[in-house]
Amino acid sequence: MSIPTGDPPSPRLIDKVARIGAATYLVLLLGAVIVFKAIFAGIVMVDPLFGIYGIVVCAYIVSRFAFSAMYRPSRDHGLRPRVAIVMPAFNEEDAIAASLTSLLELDYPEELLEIVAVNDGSTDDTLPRMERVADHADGRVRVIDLGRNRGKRAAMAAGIRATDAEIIAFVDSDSVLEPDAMAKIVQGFHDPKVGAICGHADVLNLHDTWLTKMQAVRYFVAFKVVKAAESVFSAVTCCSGCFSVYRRSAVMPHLEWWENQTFLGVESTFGDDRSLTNCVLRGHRVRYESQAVSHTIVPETFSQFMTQQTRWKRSWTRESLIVGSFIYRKHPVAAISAYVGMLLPLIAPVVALRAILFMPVIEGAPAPIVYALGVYAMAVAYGLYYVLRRPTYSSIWVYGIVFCFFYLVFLLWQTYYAILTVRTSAWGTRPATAGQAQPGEAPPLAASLGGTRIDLS
Amino acid sequence: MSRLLSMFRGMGALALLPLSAVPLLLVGPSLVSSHTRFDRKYHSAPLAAPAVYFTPATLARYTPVAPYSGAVPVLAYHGINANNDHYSVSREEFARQMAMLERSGYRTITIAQYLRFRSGDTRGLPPRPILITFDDGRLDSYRGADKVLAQHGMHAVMYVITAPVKAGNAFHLSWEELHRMQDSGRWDIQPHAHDGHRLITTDPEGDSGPFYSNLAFTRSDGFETFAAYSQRVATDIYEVKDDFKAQGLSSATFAVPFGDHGQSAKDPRVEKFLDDLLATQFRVAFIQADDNEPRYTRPTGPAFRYEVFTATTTDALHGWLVRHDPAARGTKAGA
Repeated sequence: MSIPTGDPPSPRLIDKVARIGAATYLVLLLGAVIVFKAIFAGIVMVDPLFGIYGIVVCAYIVSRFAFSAMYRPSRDHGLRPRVAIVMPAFNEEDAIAASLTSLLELDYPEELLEIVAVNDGSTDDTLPRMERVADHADGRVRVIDLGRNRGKRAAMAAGIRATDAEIIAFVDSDSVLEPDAMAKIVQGFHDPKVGAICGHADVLNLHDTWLTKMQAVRYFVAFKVVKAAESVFSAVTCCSGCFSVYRRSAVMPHLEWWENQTFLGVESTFGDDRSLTNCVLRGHRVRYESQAVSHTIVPETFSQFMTQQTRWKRSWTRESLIVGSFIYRKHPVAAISAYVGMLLPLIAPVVALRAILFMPVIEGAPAPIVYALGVYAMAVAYGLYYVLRRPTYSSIWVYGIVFCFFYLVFLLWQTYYAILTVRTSAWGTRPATAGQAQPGEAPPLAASLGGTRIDLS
Repeated sequence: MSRLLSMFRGMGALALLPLSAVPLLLVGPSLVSSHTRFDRKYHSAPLAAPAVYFTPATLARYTPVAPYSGAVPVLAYHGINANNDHYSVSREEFARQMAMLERSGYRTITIAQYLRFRSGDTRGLPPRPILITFDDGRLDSYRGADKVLAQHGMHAVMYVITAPVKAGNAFHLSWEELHRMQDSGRWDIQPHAHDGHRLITTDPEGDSGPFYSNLAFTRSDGFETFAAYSQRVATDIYEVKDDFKAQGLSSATFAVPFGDHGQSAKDPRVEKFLDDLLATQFRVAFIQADDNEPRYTRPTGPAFRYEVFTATTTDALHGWLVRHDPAARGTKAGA
């Protein structure tokens, strides 16, 4: 797998046509959805619960696009703080050396960039390989050995304690950074109130299977739309483990709590990224940096993907309760968005069942055309956004449409299962290639025209 | 060559953009147009009765009239809405008129009471009876009038054109709604026409006239024969009666469309045929007076209705009622 080079190829005619077409189409589509909602606003009087739900979903999605259009990446302030990249590893002998080596090649002043590799009690050749890289790195790589397996959070915490760098960076062992990514991402710390910054993550293995193609569109929208929208109000709720940086002073007060977090009496083993973001978000601004790009490997098989999604949903459930306890003190728009984003996935399965089964079967209503078209419109909107913001046109955007329906069939229902099994701490299968970090909360793949929607959480 | 090929493939991939719009363009517009159905389905409940305020001077004018018997004034409304279209009466104006009627002592009667009255049995009627009717089976009349009638404990008759009801026309009441009205005890549902409440071409100049009272003219066949006319009109009457029968509704009375029973038809056979048909099919066939200055109906004689139009004020309605009040006339005659 090769990382796309930093400079995009010069745009072809086809790319220009596609982008102009997609921009026009997207504006028309969102406009049509708004007009449709306005015409049928009367549904609120007829069917208050589902009518309001439909309008809220529509407003949520359209507002994500609108706010993301207000997003601007940080200017280059020439900031070069001291950075330590903490990379925990457990039985990753295949990938660890390449991961560490790629970090050494980052375009960042050598004396200011430290790499802390933490061996979390691996039983394979991980530790010797870490040490071999360190031996050839002029002291820029420090290897910490936990002695036995203590879990990802313990490994990360040990790495944080091992360094006194001003900025702590986390890079997932499945992720590769673009050379300028570190220099770009730290610029946001120009604002002293910023405590954490989330980098952008693209899918590295996007051409492998239909599943990775779907995730490519999903990641793109989750970052460029949802995180960008959150960033406008300095309230990004999940700094993805793919690539994120934290101000040391913002993390340290929470380090022990975070390392030992329990939920309902059970140790919280996953969702470390979202949890740490929450700790920092309480008292700091948290931003997203679209110009700091990482490329990450995502699950390629259905079962890996489903396991990962269930895990994400469980940590989403846990962390939503925490976010809910303080987000109201943030910008009102951020607070409302966060609460709406929590409620909608809870209601979505009910609305879907009602539209697909109850209404047609029990009430004899016509097939759920409105619901299906709503899902489709949302799916197309996400696909179009992918076309619009990509330098070169590719038909992969169509998988965004596939994903919405995939979500409707397979993922929508997971919310309840995840809530009921929220105390489960087992990581599930832990394949070496399955991304362990979440790209952020789901792009709100939520659609509704007729009081209906699905949500991607 | 390979460059050309990749360009074609690129074009193919690009076609996915417009292709993705196909489902939206195919289904979207029909969703938007379904708004009429949506509106019809959900915006069909009766509207709240508007508040009515009379000035003291007006109140002084609307004092209870002396009781009368042996005569019943009949009012004909067409639609209750804000349109200034000659026929429609606004909800506010309708509310004022009903308030005036109640204050003046008029008491509405049902179609059953009216039929007893027409059969010569005038006992059992309230002291100042009045019959309120609506033509055409329009949704807006029901929505605008129902709560006002309920507020005053009043009763009314709805004359229904059945063809649009069967076609599910959004402007008209549905059978379900008509049954609900009948079951409420506030309304009587009676026949107005099947398909015959419309104008047809009546001469080579392209003039038009009511379906029931004219021989039809077509460019292809010229004037229809009288036999064809009588069959056409009779069929429509039998159809509306059958529709009512199928719904289990009474069709004892009839409101003649446009109030035209052939009184001004060019062919003299028309009036005779139509009068006979209506007299043998219904116990009462309501008509309108050409000058809209009819007398109250009596147990015998033509069943005239006073038409209430957009321009008819509460005072105008009050004026008509008072002008023709049999008690007042009786007093005058005796003086």
